[in-house]
Amino acid sequence: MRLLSLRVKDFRGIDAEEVSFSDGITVVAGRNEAGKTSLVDAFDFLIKHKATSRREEINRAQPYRTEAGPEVEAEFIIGNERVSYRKRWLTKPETVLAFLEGPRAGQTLVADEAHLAADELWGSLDSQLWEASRLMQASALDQSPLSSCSALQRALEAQAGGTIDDGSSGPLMERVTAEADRYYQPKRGDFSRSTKAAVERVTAAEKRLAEAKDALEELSDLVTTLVALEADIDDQQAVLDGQRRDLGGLAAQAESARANQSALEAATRTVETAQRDCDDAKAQLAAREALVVAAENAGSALAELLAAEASAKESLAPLEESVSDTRDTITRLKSELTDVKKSLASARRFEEQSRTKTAVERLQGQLDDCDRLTKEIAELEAGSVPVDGTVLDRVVELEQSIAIAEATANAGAARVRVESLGNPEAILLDGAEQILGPEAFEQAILDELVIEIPGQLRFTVTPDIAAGGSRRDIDRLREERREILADAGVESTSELKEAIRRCEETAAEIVRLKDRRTDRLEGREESVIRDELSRLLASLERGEEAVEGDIDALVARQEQLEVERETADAVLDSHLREADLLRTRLAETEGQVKNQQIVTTRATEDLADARSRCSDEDLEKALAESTAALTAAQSDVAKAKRLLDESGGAAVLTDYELQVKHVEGLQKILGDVRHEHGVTLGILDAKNRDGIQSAHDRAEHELQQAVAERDSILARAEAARLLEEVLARHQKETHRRYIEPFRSALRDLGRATYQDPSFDVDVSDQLEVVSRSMGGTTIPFESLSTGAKEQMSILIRLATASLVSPDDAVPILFDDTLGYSDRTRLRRIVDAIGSADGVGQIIIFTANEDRFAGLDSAARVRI
Amino acid sequence: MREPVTFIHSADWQLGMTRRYLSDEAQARFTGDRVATIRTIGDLAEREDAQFIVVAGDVFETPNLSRRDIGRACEAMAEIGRPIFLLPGNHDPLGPGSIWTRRDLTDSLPDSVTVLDGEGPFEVSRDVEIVAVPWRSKDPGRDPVTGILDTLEPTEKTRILVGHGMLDELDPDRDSTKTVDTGALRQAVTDGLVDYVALGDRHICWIDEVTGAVNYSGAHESTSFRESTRGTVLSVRIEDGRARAERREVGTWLHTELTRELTSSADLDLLREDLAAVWQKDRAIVRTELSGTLSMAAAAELDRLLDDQQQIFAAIFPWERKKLELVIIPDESDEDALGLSGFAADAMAELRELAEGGSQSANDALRLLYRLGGAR
Repeated sequence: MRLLSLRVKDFRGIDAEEVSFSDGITVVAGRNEAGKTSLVDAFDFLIKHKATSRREEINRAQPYRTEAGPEVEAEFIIGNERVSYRKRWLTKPETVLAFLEGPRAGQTLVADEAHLAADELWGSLDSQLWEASRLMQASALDQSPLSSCSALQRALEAQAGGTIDDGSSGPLMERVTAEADRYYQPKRGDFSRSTKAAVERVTAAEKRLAEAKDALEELSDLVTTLVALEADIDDQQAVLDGQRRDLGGLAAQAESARANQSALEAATRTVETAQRDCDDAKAQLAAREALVVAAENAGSALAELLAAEASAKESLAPLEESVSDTRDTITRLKSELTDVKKSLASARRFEEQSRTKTAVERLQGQLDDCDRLTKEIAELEAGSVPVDGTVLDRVVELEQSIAIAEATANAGAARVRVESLGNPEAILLDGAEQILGPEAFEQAILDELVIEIPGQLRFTVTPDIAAGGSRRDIDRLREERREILADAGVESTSELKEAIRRCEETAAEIVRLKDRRTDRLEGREESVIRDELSRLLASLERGEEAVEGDIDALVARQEQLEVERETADAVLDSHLREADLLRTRLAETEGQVKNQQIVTTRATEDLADARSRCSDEDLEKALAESTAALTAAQSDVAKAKRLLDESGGAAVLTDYELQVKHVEGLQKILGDVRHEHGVTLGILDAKNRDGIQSAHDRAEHELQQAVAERDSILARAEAARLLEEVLARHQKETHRRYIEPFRSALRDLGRATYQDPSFDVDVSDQLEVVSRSMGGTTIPFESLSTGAKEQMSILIRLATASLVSPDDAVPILFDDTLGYSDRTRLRRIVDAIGSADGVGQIIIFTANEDRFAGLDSAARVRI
Repeated sequence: MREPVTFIHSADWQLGMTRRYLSDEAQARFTGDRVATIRTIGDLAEREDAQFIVVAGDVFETPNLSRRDIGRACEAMAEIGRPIFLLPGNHDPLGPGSIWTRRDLTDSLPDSVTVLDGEGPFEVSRDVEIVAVPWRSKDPGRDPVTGILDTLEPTEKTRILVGHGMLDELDPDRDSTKTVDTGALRQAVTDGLVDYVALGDRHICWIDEVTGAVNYSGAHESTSFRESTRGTVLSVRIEDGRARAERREVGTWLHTELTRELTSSADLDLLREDLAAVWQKDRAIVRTELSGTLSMAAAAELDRLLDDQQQIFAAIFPWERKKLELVIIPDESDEDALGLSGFAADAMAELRELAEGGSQSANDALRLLYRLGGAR
């Protein structure tokens, strides 16, 4: 379709406007509200709405100021017809379609017939493409659904080399997907609920069959157990029967052996009796011999003890005599030693008392000197007035301050000079007489001064106030100096210095005296010395009588006597221990003698008593007889043993008894096995055998059915999945080939526009731009800036126009676009639009004509 | 001169047997018919004027048979009115827990039935005796039949040995210690120690070509696909010391395999005829072994055919091991019928290649494509 001209009258804000369009690019420029967008809308009205329509939007299109209805007339080429199509709405509605060129040239249709004919013409147009090829000011910058543009589809299919959608593949795909949905989750990662249910039914059936098999196996195990138990019973019974037979044979042998065993036991008992008799005889004879030996031994022992007693007594006598002598010696030495000790003590007291008296005298002397020195110190301290150097320093400091103050006051104060010019010579100054000599009296007036010539004149000189202050300071300083001197007991500074010198001399003397006193006391406290003196004097007053003696001689004698005494004591101790030992031994021997005498007497009596009851000869005879009886009995036992051995011996009896036990054990085991058999049989009989069997058969059948169902479903599922996967893969590949020309055209336009070889776009199966890549950055379409999105929208339309057949082409309409682009991008996009000149008709409505100044080949219209 | 004797030799009734591939409805009929066929044997015995019936082992499938099955079997045997001798086999051996000791059975067995629960002889009549070798456990561990021959003394009576086990000559595992010594049995027949050996365990009827007297009767009702016919018994007549056995078909159930290579709709017609040729379809169990290459349309037709037969036959199903041998390859008519183009046509081409490569899933996918594609 190609739009040649458009005439609009009384349509919204347009009174009357007519625009002609070139075959290539037409730029329609006009200020805002000049009616650019209304021109496009007017053309849409012309195509869509009947002239008789009373739609609200048509009512709104009628200007308020006029009664005339909106009127639109367009001339365009569609297919091979060139027509003029005009409509007026609301007032005097009118529809006129005039065929100007083409097969129907010359025909003019009106009213509905014209509208229908126009509709028919318009029906040959790809209306989707017509809608998609405009980028209007008021519309959002979204993507038009190009996938439904049949013209673009035909173009892309032609380039892809075949039919993309034959009308059946798509529905087939949907049916296959629906079929796959029956068996799988939408993402195909997992089975659907129904498929899972089929799988789970198999699992459940397997579980039931396993349980049924277990139950059946349990039955089988019981039967197996019964078989084994019956075999055991048979085996045990056979063994028991054999053992019973063996027991019968052993019984006869055991009977004979048992008789011989009894005989042997009787003979053995006889031997035991004879043995006891023989042992008794031997014991009695041994007892007799023991009595004889005991009597003899007791006698010998007594004799030996008596000899020992006599020997001990002989040894004790001289020892006791020696002890007595030694004791006498010791007594003598003790007496002499006492005398020597007394003499020595008296001599030592005498010597001690002499030393005490000397010490008393020395201490008394020390104390006397000390008292004298103390007295002298007290006297010095009493006669001394303490004055220290700091007082003098203060007085000197005050005098200096006074001098400075007086000098200062004198310097600044008024002065009074009184000269004697003759009589009177005496004057009173402040009441004190002053004799005026040849020298004039002069004084600074620091205080009020009264000069009186007694009886004649009295002058009162008053200082100024400043002079008065200085005077008070000087008085304060003088008063302080006076008080300090008075405290020191002097009146002048020289006296103060003398007093200080004297005070220092007295202090030095006192220190010297104290040092002498300390030296005299030899560093000890006076009180300590006095205490010691008191103690010594008390000691002397209570002293015992003392005689002077030779202490060394007395000490030597004492030591000698003590040595002698110790020696005598040692001898005495030795003799006493030896004597005690001998006495103890003698006592023991005497005790032993007494005991042994009793033992000897008793042994002798026992022997005699025993012999009186039975003589030694009788005992020997009894032993011989019992020994003979034992020999005979032992012979009988040997004989019985031989007979027992000949009859099989005790082994037969043992074997018989063991066999009896063995048979009893076998019987018990057999009984246990029979019992177990009975219990097992009872358990088996109690089982619901046919129920278990039928449950097993049923479970097996159910599993078969479930497996068949599952396998069938899984096979169908796999078939659906495979079919869907193969179909989807081919569909995707086809779509890829299908969209490639569009993507390629868009990419080439983009690269040329942005002068960037990395420019690329990702296009969806619905021919929508998914994302734009440039400079290594990929941005989804929705995330592009408004300017970039607008530029991309223009490129999409240009690319679409470049692909569709000239027969299918429709005008591209841009209404007030590129308002968001920078100058560089603007020029490039405009250049792209200019490059598209030739691919079809492009109509640009703009309020900014300068934006499209670069379109040198464009026709330009101003409204 | 001994009187001629005629009897029915049967075996392997295995009453209570279940088959996993049968639906509940078919299983119920399968179970019932195994009892009903006992009556058929009775009818045969009457027609043949048989003096008695001997069942050589495996009368019952398990020792845990339901009272109902036991009761109905006993009722059927009672109705026959002729002596029946039942031998315990490996499925129903004597011993602890045996079905033969269950009160359900002992109380229900009619007087005409004798359980061969020992080695005999069991007197059938004044001139006929049975020597039996019953199984006492599931695993005797040795030749379960011929051991008894050493204990037998020549007799003037007609002597029938009833045993259960696989003849070594027929068993592929010839070294097994549990097979029956065929030579020993033939020798016994030749020596006149026995006149006839009635064997069970082999469910297929087999008559010894050497002696004609060491025979398997086959099961009275088919039990597996190894048995290509309906169940059989042997009608045996012993006269002048010679036995003559004749096969009689008494069963109603059939296990059958249909093997066919399919390459076209014509082959499908042949398969349809095969199925149509099976009589008593409600008692026929069919296992298909189909191979070859079919177009999608033919495959769909096959699916419909087999689906239809499901409602008619007792069971019909493909043999899993042979399932992959049938390949679906779309042909031009399929493509025309589907009218696919574009990516769907490409997808079908890929699936075709996969199917040709042996992918069962691709086969199934093509079937699905054919169905969902709305072939015209």
